[in-house]
Amino acid sequence: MIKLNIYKPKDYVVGRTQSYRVKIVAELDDPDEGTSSSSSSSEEEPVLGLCDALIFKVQEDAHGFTHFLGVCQPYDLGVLQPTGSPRRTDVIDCYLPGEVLADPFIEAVTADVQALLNSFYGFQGNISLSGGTV
Amino acid sequence: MTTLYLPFDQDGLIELEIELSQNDDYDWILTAEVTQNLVFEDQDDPRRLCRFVDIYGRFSHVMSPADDVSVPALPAVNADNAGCMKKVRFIFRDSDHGLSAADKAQETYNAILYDLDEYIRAKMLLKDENLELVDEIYLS
Repeated sequence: MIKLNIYKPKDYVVGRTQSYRVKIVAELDDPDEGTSSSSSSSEEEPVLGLCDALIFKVQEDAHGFTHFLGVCQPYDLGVLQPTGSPRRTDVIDCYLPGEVLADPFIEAVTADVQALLNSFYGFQGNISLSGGTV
Repeated sequence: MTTLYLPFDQDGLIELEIELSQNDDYDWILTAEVTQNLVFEDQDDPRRLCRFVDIYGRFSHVMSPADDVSVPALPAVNADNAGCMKKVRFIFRDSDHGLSAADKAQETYNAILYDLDEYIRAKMLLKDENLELVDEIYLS
């Protein structure tokens, strides 16, 4: 459903500058899948999944620099807009202090995106609240 | 004052005014200032000439590509208390231990040139056109 395109520099020389660039672009692999139901039932079913690929949370600081805050929580998707600060975006374009951190960073982002998707579909089953005392 | 053109093997992307001299007290004085930076993306941004990072009021290092997108020009500083400045001036004085003042001054001189040269090369390697798609991850 979500595709993450990972971009890295073609060539890189380790040096004292300690700058390594990683770019991750998210896109909906099949936009229709997450936004609508093909059910012929007249009952309106809840829309599950993502409506767009703006799943990364970024914020601008007082100097106009944009900082990556993390993968959106389900709550963020409903609250944050594509404009303003903080906002949602589909691109992470960041500098890491060294090439060695690139893969762990990408793995962490991937895991968080997977967790976001799981949080949507984790509630698909029926939940019984019968009996018991809270 | 000497004008140097970097990178070393091709002239003109960065121009640097640099001077190493000795004063009447036999201290070595090193001053450096970038006067042209064609590598920086926004040529209207005065930060292109602010190539030296100051943290908590002390010189820290020459700007890196990562600093270009996170360090404002002094007197503004970011969350790490880092700001960048246009000109640096170092005073080296002989002490009883370590390198002589002249050696320390010469090492700093060389390090500034080396780091600015590497900054140019790193910026070239990290440009948009030098990024390549290395992986596509599908999640559902």
